[in-house]
Amino acid sequence: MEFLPYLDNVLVVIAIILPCIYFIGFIRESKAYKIFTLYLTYIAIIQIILSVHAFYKINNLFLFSYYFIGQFIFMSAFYISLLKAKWIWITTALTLLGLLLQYIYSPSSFTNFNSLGVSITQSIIVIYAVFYYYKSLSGNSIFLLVNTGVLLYFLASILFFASGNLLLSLNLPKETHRNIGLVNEFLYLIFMILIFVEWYRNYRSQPYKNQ
Amino acid sequence: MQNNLADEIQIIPIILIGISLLVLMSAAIILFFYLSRKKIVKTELEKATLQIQHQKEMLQTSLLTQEAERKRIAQDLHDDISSKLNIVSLNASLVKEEHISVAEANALGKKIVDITTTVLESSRRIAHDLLPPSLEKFGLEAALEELCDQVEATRKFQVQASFNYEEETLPKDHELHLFRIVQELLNNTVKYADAKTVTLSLESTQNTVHLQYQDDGNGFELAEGKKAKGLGLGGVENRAAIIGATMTLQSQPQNGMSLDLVKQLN
Repeated sequence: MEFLPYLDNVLVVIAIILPCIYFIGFIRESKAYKIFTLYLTYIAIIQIILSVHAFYKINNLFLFSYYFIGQFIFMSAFYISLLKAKWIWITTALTLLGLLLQYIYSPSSFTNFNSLGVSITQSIIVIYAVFYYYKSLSGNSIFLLVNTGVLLYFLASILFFASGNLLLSLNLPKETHRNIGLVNEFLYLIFMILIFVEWYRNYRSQPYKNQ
Repeated sequence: MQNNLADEIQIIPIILIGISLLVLMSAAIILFFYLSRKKIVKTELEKATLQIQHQKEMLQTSLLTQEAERKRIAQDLHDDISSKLNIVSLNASLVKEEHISVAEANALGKKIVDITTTVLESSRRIAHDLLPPSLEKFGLEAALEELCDQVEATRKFQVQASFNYEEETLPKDHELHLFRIVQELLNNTVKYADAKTVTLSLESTQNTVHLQYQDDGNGFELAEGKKAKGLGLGGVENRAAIIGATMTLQSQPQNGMSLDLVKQLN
């Protein structure tokens, strides 16, 4: 439990390392791999900016919209390349349109914590992950470990993000905030570990394996 | 104020319980898919093993058929050619002897000519059995008609044949397989069935080739018939599989047998 206070720093470091190792096979690997690497890079950049803001104690809540919208776009592209289904295009486009409408009618939700937006986008990604699991039943599939991580983290953290505004509005002691945040960070750590194991097992060094 | 604080304190466990339940739910989904995948892989493996087993059996049957065919050809060559050529050779060496009269030499010469004619006839028959020339020259329909005529000539049963086959609907090698199937079935009927009538029809349409064969003979238990190597049904089944046709075989003791073979084109 000694490491717990440093967990968010550990997560930032891992978030930076992961895209670096995924970039090793960037050119030779599939389209899905490339999109996933870009997703990891995007998350790493967001994490770095968040940390800098946190370090200088500047309000970083506006970054949250960039985080979950970017995440939704990259993850949707990732599942489009894996599932090759037209309905994902349509669902993604409709959701983005919905978010755009929300920001037009309520511009303040962009700079605040958008619980509704994050809950909906995460739920949709979970649905993609379940469909990918279903597809993987009938044959060999790539990125199964990442898919497991997506399902576990994105589903479990829906409630955490959905209750974000509620938690922020309550007059809770800082310690309680921190403890709830730790649960989310712990789940995120598992997700990161699964992403690493995926790379280690299937993409570490293999000029032949995925051909 | 105190009530508010109490509410706030109550919310935290609810959120934590909710998150735990979601973790459990995702774990359940992952486990479900993992186990289903494992089960599916196992079933597919079993299916593949069965398929390999079936292919092995097919190979074995075709090897057995090949061996039986070789044995039959060897027997034919020995009985109809070699033994008679021996007599020719014996007679020819008698002709060479000095004390033999002209009349005797003539008689021996005539005998040699007769036997040679029989040998020629036999070798033609053996070659014909191996690959009927009519199939090559005039096509499947003509070859089947010839086969039916030959069988009918034995006067064991009547053959009611009807053909409506567009030549070259099937590739040459597939036509030969169909011919062999009919040959095998007629052979079985001659040998075992004690039938009075055989009905044979071959039809081709734009999408299918349909072969029907029926006899009113003794029939047999299907399971036993398939096991009995003498019946050559394994060979029939193999040939049907090779040309990619669906085969339905029906038979009951004392109720004759029928075979329905449909080959889908395209």
